[in-house]
Amino acid sequence: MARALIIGGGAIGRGFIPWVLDGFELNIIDKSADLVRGIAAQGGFYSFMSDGEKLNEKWVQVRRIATNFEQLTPLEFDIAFISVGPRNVTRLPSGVEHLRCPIFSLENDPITVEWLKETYGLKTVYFGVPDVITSSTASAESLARDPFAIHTENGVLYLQRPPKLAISLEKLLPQVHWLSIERLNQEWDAKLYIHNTPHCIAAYLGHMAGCTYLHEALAKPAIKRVINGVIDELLIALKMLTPYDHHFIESYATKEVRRFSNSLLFDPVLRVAREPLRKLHPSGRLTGALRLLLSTGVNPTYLMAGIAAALCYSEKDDRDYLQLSELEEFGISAFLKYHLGLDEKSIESEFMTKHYSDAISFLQREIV
Amino acid sequence: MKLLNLAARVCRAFSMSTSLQMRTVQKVKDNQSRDVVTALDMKLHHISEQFVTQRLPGCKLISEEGVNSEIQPHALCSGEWLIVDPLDGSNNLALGMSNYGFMAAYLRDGRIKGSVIVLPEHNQYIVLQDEQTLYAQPFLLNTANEHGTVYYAYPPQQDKPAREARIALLDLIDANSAGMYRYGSACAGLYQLLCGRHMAFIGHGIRLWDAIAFLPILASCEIHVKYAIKGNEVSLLASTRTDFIESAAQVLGKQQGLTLHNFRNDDLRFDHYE
Repeated sequence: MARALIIGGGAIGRGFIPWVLDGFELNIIDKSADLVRGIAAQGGFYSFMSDGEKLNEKWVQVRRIATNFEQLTPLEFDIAFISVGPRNVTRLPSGVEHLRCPIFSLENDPITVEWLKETYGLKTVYFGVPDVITSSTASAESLARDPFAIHTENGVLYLQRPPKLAISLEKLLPQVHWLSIERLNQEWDAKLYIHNTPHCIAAYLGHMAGCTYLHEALAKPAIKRVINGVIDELLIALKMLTPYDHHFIESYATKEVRRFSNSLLFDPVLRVAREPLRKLHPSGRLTGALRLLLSTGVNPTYLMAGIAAALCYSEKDDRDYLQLSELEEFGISAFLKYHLGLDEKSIESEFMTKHYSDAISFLQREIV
Repeated sequence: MKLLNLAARVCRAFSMSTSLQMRTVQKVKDNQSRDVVTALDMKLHHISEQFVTQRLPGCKLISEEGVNSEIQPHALCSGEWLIVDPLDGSNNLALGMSNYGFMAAYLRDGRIKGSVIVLPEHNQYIVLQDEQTLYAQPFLLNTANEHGTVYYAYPPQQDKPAREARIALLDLIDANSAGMYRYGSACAGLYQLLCGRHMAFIGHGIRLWDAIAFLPILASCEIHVKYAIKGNEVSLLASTRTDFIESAAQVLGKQQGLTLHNFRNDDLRFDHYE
């Protein structure tokens, strides 16, 4: 039987990837000793997939699960996926450098492919886009059946086609969409901006409004109006700036709000909102989107409201909380310069500095 | 202790002080033409004063631009102190050149409990607070080439033994490295050591505020540090190459009778003047 390795047993790694690995013996590495112990004791876990109306369940049989590579030797796998969070790809457990199979980074940022190659001397690393919303938890009912249960929607996995993709491997992965890097980049643009940008903004607005799950946030008309506004702004800019088929990006956009609103996903606001500084990175889903809009002359009214909500995200357990809690003392311009490397004279910095106060007033009036 | 708040105030001041006016030299200290004080020095000094008043009541401030720049031996062993160099590299700033930064070390009962380092040209701050180190930018620690360059900082006026030690140290640097660097800011030099762009840093009788904030940061990055503190003067050797540090320590011991200690924050030594 073919063997797959999943590094990072979080939302994507545990919730979604097993659904496309039916013909594989599954091995998982995760840093959480509790998770590893628990799943090892059960021999697997449940993943629940929503089709929008009901949940389908899958018992995911796990052959081996460990916190380190020593416990998984020999490291003979046919395919490996990395889904540990972009900030953690350069801190993988020792032993990853010995992998020789195709490795796919599902980290929402193509730069992670280069980081993995440079850090571990790996050659066969490729990019992948899981176009899916997966929660990091599950409903109370599902958790009562299995404390490691997770909810996911029925998404699509796009993988960069390696130059020498084994036919046998391709046959074992019938649900995967193998794409050239150019086509994958198109998917990436669509996902980064039309999916990821409004998705995280919904979380920041939801946090401001005191919501626990994303579908609760989308149930609020004021939040839904902002999200629709962000998507409209992005669509106009993408149509003007990219050569992508307008039907493709429009159809992609149409399904987004429906996906975010899926009440069966139980997607926690805290999961989607975590690490706002990474999402505010100049090449990322918020500031990158701002540059896209400004460069096409689209007025980023709703996007700026989302950026302001990210900048005042105040979740004490978040990794970026300390820095964000001093935002006022830094001032917007210095905060962006030091944390995001944004030049004070850049168009993004000047726009955010000029419109931050108005955006906050709007949020306090409409959302809080 | 919220030293990140001090870093935030300093970052903001740097960002708002890009005008020529802030670079204007307001005075020259001790007739040393390179020891200038700019408007920004004073602004950052006042920010430090204000921070101590508001956030560290009871803490004593020692600032390069303050009045109490002389420190009694062992005074730092007890109580709270904030030792600040508001603008290290003032002359560079005044000349419109690169390499300058802000440094502050917070001491409590003789231990360095916190540090703030701000380097505006690198969009970087380093804050040590509550035993946690925060960097504005992701920080890639590179190991320097073992025969890389050495930053050598020394004051303009040195006595004869120190001058002789200086000659011996320069010989040591030439024999063991790719050459000496000295660009007017210990703060910038120490940061480049952290980044692996210098193989070693030698601070030879420099002022305490020129280096003390870096001591725990260097140690946390596994850079070996030897030092001797006398009053408000410090001699500091830092490198990943222990053999180089030991050779330099031997020079200082032989020429100046200095005994350097290995840095341990739980055992910070303040020596008497002889």
